[in-house]
Formats: sequence, structure tokens, C-alpha cells
Amino acid sequence: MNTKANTFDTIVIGAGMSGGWVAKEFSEQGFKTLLLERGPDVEHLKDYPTTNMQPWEFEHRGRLTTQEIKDNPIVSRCYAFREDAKHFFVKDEEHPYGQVKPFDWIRGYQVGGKSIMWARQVQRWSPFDFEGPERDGYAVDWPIRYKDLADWYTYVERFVGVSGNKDGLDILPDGDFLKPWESNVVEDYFSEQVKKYYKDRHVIYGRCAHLTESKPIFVEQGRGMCMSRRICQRGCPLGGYFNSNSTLIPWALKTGNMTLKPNSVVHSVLYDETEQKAVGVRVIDSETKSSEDFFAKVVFVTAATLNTNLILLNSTSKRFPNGLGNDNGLLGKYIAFHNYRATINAEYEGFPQFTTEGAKPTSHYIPRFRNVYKQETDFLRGYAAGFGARPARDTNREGIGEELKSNLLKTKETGLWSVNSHMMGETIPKKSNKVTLDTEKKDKWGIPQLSIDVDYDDNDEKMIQDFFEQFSEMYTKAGFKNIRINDNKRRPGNDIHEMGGVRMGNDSQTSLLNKWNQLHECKNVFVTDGACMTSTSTQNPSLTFMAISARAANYAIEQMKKGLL
Amino acid sequence: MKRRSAVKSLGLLTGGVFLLPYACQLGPKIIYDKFPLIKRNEQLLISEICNCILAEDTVGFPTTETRIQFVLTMINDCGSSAELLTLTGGFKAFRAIFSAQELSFSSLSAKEKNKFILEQFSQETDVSDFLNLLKRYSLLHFETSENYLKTHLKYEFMPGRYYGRVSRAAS
Repeated sequence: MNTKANTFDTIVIGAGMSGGWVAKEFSEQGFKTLLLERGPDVEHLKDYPTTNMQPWEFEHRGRLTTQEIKDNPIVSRCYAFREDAKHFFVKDEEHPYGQVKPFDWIRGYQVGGKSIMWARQVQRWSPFDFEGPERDGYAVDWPIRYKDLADWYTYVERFVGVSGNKDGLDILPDGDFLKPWESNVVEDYFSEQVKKYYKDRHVIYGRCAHLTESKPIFVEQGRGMCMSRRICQRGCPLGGYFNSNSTLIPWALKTGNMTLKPNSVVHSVLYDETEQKAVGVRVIDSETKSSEDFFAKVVFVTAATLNTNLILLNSTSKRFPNGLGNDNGLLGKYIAFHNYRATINAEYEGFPQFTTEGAKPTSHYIPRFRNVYKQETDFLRGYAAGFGARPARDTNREGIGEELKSNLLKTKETGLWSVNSHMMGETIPKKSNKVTLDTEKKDKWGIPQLSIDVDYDDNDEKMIQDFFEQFSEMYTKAGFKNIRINDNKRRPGNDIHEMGGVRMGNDSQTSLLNKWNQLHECKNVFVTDGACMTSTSTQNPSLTFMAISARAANYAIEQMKKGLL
Repeated sequence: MKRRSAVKSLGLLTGGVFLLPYACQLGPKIIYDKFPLIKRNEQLLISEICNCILAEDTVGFPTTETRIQFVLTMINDCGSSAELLTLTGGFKAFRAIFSAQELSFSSLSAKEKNKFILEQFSQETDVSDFLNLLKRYSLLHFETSENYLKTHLKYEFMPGRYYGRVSRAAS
């Protein structure tokens, strides 16, 4: 029943960073906004139970128990699912899903979503990324270009706070940055060496969503400077890094225009056959399992990539029997991710006279250098990489008793440096990489489970080999020794960068969303999380999700003010 | 045979008396569900072995739990099935060395204990696997103690700074 109490201007599904941005924009501009979150509330400061615990205070010193690993084979493969932050991750048995091929679906069901535990790397996409599908003939052409998003990147960066250097690179455009942390001697050295040997390769500071300067906007948000604790996945008592909980949600709540409703599992978006538009959403209370409908002029689906796909596939009507907006049958298809399988590490004997002091929450970053200006390899696109260097330490654990203790107390830095890189490869969206609804298995709220059918391909395998070759060469030229490469064989999804399924495009025959992230076939439904992505680029995608969300929200607001939505 | 000869080689066994030097460190009675058959006095013996490998230093390197609580909790909660077998099987083999001689590890002098443990470590047996398991978790306990982290690994909870070009001589 449509009542005043459950009618809003806008409904936003999902309180992660994409939904948080949409909710902020609408509520800030006076629109009554309902922000739905399927998980419990996580209030900034109040609900970070481990945030101030010291390493020695954890019963298992950070490790998982064998029972936890046995019960959670999927999520326990995630690097951040450890004793200190496990409470923020979805446990396998609580929310099962189907795997046609192995896929690690790592989820965070709570207010704030995965923004609490994310890796906080925020590199802009470049013109090359938005032009990629058209130039290289894969996926479909993006309906937007970098210039459409540039100001929105700035808008987001100014609000969340991004530490970075102005590097002046076309492959990785600069943003509105706070000051960076220092580089160390080996990071600087490798950067110089790469510049010396390669024309178009760059080793730069990894831009990260941490506050390194105090500005009035951050003070107004109630956030303090990052103190380099490097335990961000627990939630930060200072608000030193950006998450939805510390920044977007309190801001939106402060307007008095937003209603935050946790424990609200969205069953489907409601479509009115007469009005020929969406009119609201059906919600199931995660605790009582009672169902309730909410209504609004506009619905934003930002439930995180795969759940957004699930909700739309489950939103069936006479007009849309195969899922909302799914006239072309492409909903749930062209899922892609990032290939994180390849790593390399080595040692460097230079600069034994130097060490580091303190800590920083980021390392260095090497933007994509393969196939940037023209196709030059036997695989499409390329990869970015991280680069880290730290003083190596030697601990002698020989002996027993006093001898052992004496050895331990002599632990010291060796004068060597440990260096490492990891690949972040673009994967090519393919129709065969898809998600569907399981027609038989349902979750505990009666919603069909998602079945995931996503895998690597030959392009990914070739890219891994190229990474090994190129980085071995770069490390060798830099004089690094004892070089070791490793294919960690991690499953798709373990990168936690799944994207697509509701892709943007110019043509309603080949895409689901237009350039403003509206469903082609149902204009008052917007999708602005990872599901909207036409291709994946190599950069960590969260900043782009946020910029797209802010842009689409403001477009919707404009349209609503004009009475067009 | 190797085990038997190892005991014989000590040559200084006092036998019979079961001392309880670490009784106070057991704390409240804990039942470990993965190895419920290891009795309290046996936990005490494991504690003694752990302390022989790397003695607890409650003054210099205090911890929130005792060594034996930590080691057994880690093996019980986080140990692989192989580690659980190593604990039970290796411990049984360890005790068998002494029971065959109607002797006890506790009755040995500190020097004798050290010698015995070192000899066991030098062999590839169930006992050395067991001792290596205890050593691994004893090391983890020590190396994650507050004082060790702060004074030997430069751990800081809230450093608030990063300097990337610090002279090692000055640091």
C-alpha cells in the first residue's frame, strides 16, 4: 500500500560507497531519500569493535581458526578476512551461491558495505580506458568519455580526500590531491631506473583515499588525519581513510532528508504496467522476514555488482518477464573482473646505509604500459602493477632456551631491501561470463540464489606471462637479485573487483544503461555501482563508481526538478 | 631405539619425582576439545617442554596469556589436522621415552633437559615434529608480545609519519 510513511523521492538500494554517494547527493539537495541496506547498521566509531586492539590482544594473533576456514572456504581466501575484521565479511554458509566455475564472491553486508574493508587505492581512469572497447573491438563502446567524468572525479576526490602526487601522465590523469607520504630510497631508485630504460613506463606514488592534510570539509565531516595505523579494515576511529560510514552516511543523515533502513533485503524493483515505470521496491526484513513495499519516483540500484544483477533479474513483470530492462537478454552477461594472479618479488642490495621510519598506508603504482597507444602484443589491453620496497629483516630462530632467546633479541634489518609487485590485469568482458538466477535454490528470504559462471581466458593467461617477462626484465635492469615469480592461481572474484552485467552503452540492443546510467527501457531506474561498467580498465574501480554515482544522481536531480522523472 | 638410547645417554636421571615448576602457569582448567584426553598434568608437562624450548619471561616480555594457554589454544583452534596428530602422537612418543625407563622429564636438571631436547631436535622423529610444533607456537607467542614488537620490531600502533630515507647509523 502506498502511504506517506513509505513514500520517498528516491530509493537507494545498498549503503556502500556508490549508494552512499547517491544518498548524499539527493538528501543534500532536499530530496526525501530512503537508503536501504540488507545488513545491519555499522555506525562510525561505535561499531568498530576491534579498532583499537593491539596485535597481542587477539587470541589467535590475527589468524583464523581451522573451523572458520572449514566453514568459509570462499571468504577465507580473501586477504582481509582475518581475526581482526572477519565480522565485516559475509560468511559462506549464511549466503550461499552457485558456482558453475570457481568464483570467490567476497561480500560485506552491512551499512558501509565493503567500503569499510577496501584497499583504498583510488586511481582515475584515463581517456584510453573509455576509448578502449571501441578502439580494440571488444564489449561495446562506452557512452561516456573521460571528459564526461573528469569534473566528477574532482568532486569526489575533494570530499573523500585523496593523497597523491601530480604526475602529469596521460595514462593516469592527475586529480585534486592532498600531499603524499614520502617515497623511500628504493622506490625512488626503481622509479629512476624504469624512467632510464623505458620511455613510457612510470613508477609513481599509489594514490589513496587517506587524509594527509586537514581541510575545513574534513573537519566538518568530523574526520581526522590518517595516522598510518595500517589496520583500516577494522574501521578507523579517526576517520583517517574514507569509508561510507564516516563520510557519506553521517553527512546525508545530518540533512534530515535521509532515512537509513538497515536489515532490509531488497526482493525486487516494482514495475507498474500502467504507468510504465518503476514505482518502488519490495523489501524483506532480514530479521522478521516480513515483506513491505516502499515507493519513490526514482530508484537507484547500487547493491554491489552481482547483487545489483540479482535484484534486476529478480524484478520480473509482465512487461519484463526476464528481469527489469532486460529486453535484449543481456542482463547478467559480460561480467568481468581484474586478474590478480601474478606476483613477483626480489631483493636489492643497494642503499644498505638507509632504512625507513614509521609507516604509510600505500605503496607505489605502475600504470598500464602495454598496448596504450597502439596494439603491440598478442593479447588485448594490459595491466597495472603495485610496487613496494621495505628493509628486509633477519630473525635467527635457531637453538633453544637462552640461546634461542638471545638469537631473537638480535633480530635486525639486514641492509637488504625486499621488493615486490603484483599485477592488476584488465579482463575482457565476454557474453559467456555471466550470472543467472538459480531456478531451484533460494536463500532464506525466498529469493533465488545467484549462479555465477565466470572464468579466465587465453588473453588473461598471455597477460600473466607478459607480466612475468616484463617485470623480470625491469627488476633485472634495476639490479634486483633473487627474482621470484609466482602465479597464485587465485580464482576470479578474489580480486573483489567484479564488474558488469548491466553495462552502459549507446545502443539499447547491446547494452542495458544509457550514458546517464538509466535503464534504456525503464528510465527512472539507475544503476551506478560496478554493475554498470562496460569494461574494467586496470585501475582500482571504486573511485570511478563514486564519480559515476555522483554524476548520475545529479542528472536525476536535474530531471526531477524539471518534472521529467 | 633412538629414543631409548637418547634417554640412556643422559646418564643423570633422578627418576620418580614429578615436579611442578610451572603449575601456577596453567591457570584455570581448560578443556581443549580437539585433544580432550590430554590431562591437566600432561598439559603441565607440555608447558615444561615449551619453557625449556623458550622460557616465558613474564617480567621482560609479559603476555596476556601464559605460554601453555597460548600454545594449546593455537593448536586446538588453528592447528591443521596434521598438527593435531603431531601433538598427540608426538607427545605420546615423548612420554614413551621416559615411561620405558620409569623416569620423568620433570625430574631432569635444566641442563639435562636442554641436552635431551636438543638431541631430539637433531633427529627426524615424531618427537622432533612434536617439539618443532611447540617451538613454532612458542616463538609466535614470544614474537607477538608487546615488548618484543615494540623494542625489536619497531612496532608502533599509530606512527603518524613515514620517512623513507633514514640513515641506518642514526636510526
